[in-house]
Amino acid sequence: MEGRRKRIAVLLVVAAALAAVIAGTAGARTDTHKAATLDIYGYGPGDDVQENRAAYAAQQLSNVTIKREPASFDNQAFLTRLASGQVPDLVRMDRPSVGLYAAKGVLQPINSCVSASLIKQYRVGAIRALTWNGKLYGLPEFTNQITLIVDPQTFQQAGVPLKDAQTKNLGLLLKDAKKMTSFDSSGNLTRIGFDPKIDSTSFGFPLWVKYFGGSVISPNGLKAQINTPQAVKALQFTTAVINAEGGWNKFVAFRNTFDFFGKGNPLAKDQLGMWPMESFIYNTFANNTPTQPIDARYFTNQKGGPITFFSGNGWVIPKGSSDFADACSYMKAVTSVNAWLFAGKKRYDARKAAGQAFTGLYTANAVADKRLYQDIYHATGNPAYDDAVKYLVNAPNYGFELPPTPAGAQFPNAYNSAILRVLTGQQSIKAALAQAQSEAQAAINANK
Amino acid sequence: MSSVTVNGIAPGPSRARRWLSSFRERETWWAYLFILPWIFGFLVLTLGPMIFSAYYSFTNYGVQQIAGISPTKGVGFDNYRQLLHDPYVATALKNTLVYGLMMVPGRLIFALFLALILMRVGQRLGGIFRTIFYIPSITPPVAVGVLVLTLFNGPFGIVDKALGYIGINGPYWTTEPHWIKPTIALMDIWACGGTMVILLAALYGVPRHLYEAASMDGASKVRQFFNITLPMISPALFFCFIILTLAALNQFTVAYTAFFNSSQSTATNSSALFFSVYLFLQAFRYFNMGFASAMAWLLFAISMTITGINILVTRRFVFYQGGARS
Repeated sequence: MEGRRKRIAVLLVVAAALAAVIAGTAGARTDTHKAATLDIYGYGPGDDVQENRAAYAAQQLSNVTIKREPASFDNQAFLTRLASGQVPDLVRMDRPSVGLYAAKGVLQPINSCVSASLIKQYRVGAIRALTWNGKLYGLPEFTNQITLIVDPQTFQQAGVPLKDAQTKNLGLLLKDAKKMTSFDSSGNLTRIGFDPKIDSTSFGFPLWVKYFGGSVISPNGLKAQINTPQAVKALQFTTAVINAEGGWNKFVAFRNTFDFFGKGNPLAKDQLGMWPMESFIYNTFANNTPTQPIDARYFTNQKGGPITFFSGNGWVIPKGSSDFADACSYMKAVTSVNAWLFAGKKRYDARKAAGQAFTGLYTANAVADKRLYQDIYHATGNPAYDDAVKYLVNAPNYGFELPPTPAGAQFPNAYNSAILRVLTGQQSIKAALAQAQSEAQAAINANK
Repeated sequence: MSSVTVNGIAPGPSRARRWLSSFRERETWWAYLFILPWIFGFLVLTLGPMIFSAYYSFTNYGVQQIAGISPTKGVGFDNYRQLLHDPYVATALKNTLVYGLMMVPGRLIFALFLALILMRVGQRLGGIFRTIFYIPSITPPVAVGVLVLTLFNGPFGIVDKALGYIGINGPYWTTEPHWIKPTIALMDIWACGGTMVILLAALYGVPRHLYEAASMDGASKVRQFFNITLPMISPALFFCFIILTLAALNQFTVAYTAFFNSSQSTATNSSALFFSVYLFLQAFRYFNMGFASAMAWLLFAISMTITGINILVTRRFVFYQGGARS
């Protein structure tokens, strides 16, 4: 009998422990927000600009406790929070994701808390990317625009005049790209003349289609336009450039050796003549190889007009947010002119103290950009970067961004897969784009 | 007739009764107590999600349902029908099977080769080499995925440079579509330490006197290998074969890290689209949870079928010491 009692006692202890675990887990699932605590997701610890803007925004909401989950936005984690009922009050996510979540009804429109005059401060392209069915679903943050980065030394070594660093005349561009490209005795690339970045999953194809006057999607985000004549031309030209430079296999194998974020970057090693890229890279180059010559240019369309593709994050309020008013106040504060000036000044001071260049901050707030340039920015003394900053300041005026689409990631995946099939020789351009068109439209139809 | 006898022997208590009566022993209670954490984990972390995914595979579960905006609705067998119509499902299955056909035999042969070498080098050196050979197994798969792009980066990668020394022009492993699966298989074969250790243990278990007897009978080393070594380690080989087959069907991390990381320009490479990768994309990038659940059950069914066939086919080749398996 004694043994039996012991066994029962052990079982009871184990059962109690399991019950405690289950109860603890259940308790966590039903945890509710405390009053006046703003739960922010997707804005975890970041660089000095992020932290200083967060500090500024927190100051503006002094009666609210700010809780920032130490993580960047992740779809899986966000969905888990939604499923478990722990809906964050405010979320920062990449702008292409906003379209999907807005179309699915996960987000709340913010028109009621943002005045039309305030909206005018932000870049039109970025606001469009956050507008679904005529309603605004978020405020944009950074604007990472595309400009042409030019290595003057490569041009000089290849005997190509620097005035040829342009995208207006495609015949000349192709000729110069070939001229600047070089190979070693084994036939391996040692320098790429021009990288069109058509395979860049973030901006390549939409930018080149825009170059030819088209758009990969209709303004309302419901019609895929991937196999248009402009899209075909975009892929034809960029594929021709890559083929002229040794073909996709050689091209990408050599490019994969580049160290963009170190002192041995393609500028320092003269590995790349010219390429379109996001604006953040100027800052990286200015700090890693400040004396290396660099030139900036607008990426222009075939008429010579500048165009640039925007990308960046947006602030949104999910349905179920327990504090809409404070969430909206925070997103306005963290993307405000003053927040950018506060963070910009701190960065400028820090860079100056460290003897490093400050090449500016480029945001989706046009007023902030102007003030940052006028009030905070000082010429670095390096003509190359000072000149580049002038392009970066003006480039956002020519920016566009894709409208939100309910297809989410399936939409860019459709055309990026097509590009890869063409580059690897698996499909013709027309067949690949036709397949992508059908896949993208099917994804839109299934999700709208 | 109230009871049936076979060969005149009265039947013993039923299996259920034997199981119940085992609880009279204190050891049985202790045994269940020790495995209780595992049972709890199995129920909550494995069986529970499996049951949920079976349910969701018959529903339209997606973002709206997760967020509680729309109710979850039954869609019958629609998700399973879609498996037949989505061409990427067939592509992903084909990729996974082709990769498995390369990886499983490759890894078994290479691991056995290394284990045989280790058997010959003696205890001291064996320990050192065992550690060296095992290191790739403890390399995180994410790191292996990154390594793939560095080691196999065409003429700039170490692999092609090494091949160049012996006069071979290596391919563009990570960009030529038909070389992508062999590349991932090679990386998995390289990380064969776990399999090697199991086979090494099996090799140590082969009685020495069998080799001595065979030598006295004039059997060559090759004959000894095929007639003694292989049969004697066949249970271990069989175990590894089953485990590796399941691992191949579930290949995800290396392929995803190397080719589907969003920062990669190859992020949409259908040549590296393994079944688990496509399942992940459907669930967590496209949010088609119902369809992804149906995919998971298809993978489960395929895994069970292949394992069943493997057991049936290989049973006749596996030799268990002490008699046939009951």
